[in-house]
Amino acid sequence: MIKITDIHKAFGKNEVLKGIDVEVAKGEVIVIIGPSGSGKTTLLRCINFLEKADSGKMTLGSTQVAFKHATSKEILAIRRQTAMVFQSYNLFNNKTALENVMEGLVTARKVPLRQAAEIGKNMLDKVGLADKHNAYPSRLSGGQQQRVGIARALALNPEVILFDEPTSALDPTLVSEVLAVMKKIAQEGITMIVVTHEMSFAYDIANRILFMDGGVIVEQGTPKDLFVNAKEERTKQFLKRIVPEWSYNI
Amino acid sequence: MNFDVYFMLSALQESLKYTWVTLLLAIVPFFFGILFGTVIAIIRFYRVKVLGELLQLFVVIIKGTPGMVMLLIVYFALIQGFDTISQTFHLAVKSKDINLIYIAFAALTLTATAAISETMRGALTAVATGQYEASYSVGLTKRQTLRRIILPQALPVAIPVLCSNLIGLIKGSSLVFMISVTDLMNAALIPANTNYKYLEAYIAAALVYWVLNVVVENIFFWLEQHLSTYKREVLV
Repeated sequence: MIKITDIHKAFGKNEVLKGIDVEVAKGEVIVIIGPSGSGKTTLLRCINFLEKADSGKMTLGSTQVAFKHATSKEILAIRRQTAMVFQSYNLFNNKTALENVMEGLVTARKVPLRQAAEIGKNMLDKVGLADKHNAYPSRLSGGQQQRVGIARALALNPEVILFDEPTSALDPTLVSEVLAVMKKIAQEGITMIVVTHEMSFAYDIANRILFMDGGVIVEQGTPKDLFVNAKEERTKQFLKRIVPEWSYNI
Repeated sequence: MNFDVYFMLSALQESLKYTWVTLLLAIVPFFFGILFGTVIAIIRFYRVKVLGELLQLFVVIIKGTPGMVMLLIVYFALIQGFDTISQTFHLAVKSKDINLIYIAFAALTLTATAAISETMRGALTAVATGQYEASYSVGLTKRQTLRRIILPQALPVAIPVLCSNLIGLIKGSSLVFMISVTDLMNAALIPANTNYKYLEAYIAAALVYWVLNVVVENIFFWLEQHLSTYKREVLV
């Protein structure tokens, strides 16, 4: 359903993505792991054109684009088939939780107000915020804000939801409430691409894990393939650093 | 020192009669200043090629020109330019037929536009980039993002400075006596020309300005509260 071929991206002289191919099937949950600066987030942001990649092609559903020459119409078409959950939530500060969820429906997709409100309420209920419909983001905790962010993405019913380190800005006690919601929607068969440092969560929900380092995909496979039987030395080194307890068990 | 309270009161009465002129001289340029200034700020904020740079030059030039100099330049340019044009077209209208208040409007609008464009540009930079990214990610166009997400958040930031801009205009409008428009200050001074009781006249004018500006500040304070309901209050 999503097919990315040979994507390149450099910031000045710093080459961040060095020709990556990714294919994601409908309903698949992909988790991207890797050290900081390996290009995980950049890859994600290139998919919905928050960064403009230097070269490469993408097919998403029935839309085909060349990253470099995408017109603003094509970019809008891609963005209206995707949704993103941000590391720093990025809720619209001037809108309530419900208005945040409704905004993309009403303004971008021209869904009638009443229908959008109904979808919005359902989504907020789903992420466990039934009592916070009219709260402004400034009145919500980090975990609550991120759950609104997830509801906002879900409401759009996109082909794929991109999660950019959704729990990295949360304190440890709030991480679990967000992960629980993500697990729930992963089980509903929504296509997800998740960048995260939560390894046990990745192990739990991923259909496939991609390990990125230095702008390339070093290794990919099922969680078991990677965590237990990693073939590449770089993968083993990374996992050893980030989950030391694994090396004792094996 | 001999302070003539009765004369001050009568000067006060005179200046109250012309307070509406001062208000008009402040509010009309303020209105157009917000209109043009916001457009200039947006164009400069998005770094539109050529136009953005031209507007930057315009703002720098206008901002660096004192209010009085601007007023007199516009006055002489319009008067001389108008007569040349009306001569070439054999029109019956002469420059002396123009109501001078329009010249004051033009000059004050120029000054206000430059100042307010900077107010709005500052307010736009105060909105975090994440707000744009979130907006684009849910499929809003650039224009929808600006109208629905960015401007509603920039406006409350701009309000305190806009208030200062308006107060600046109210005070700055007192310069129009230079081109013989009668505003509240000029109205207070006219009776003093016969008896030289200028101190009383100026104090009368100052009192009116002071009351006007306190009212303006209160209106803007209310606006600020009203527009920032979504913000968390800071405990002090």
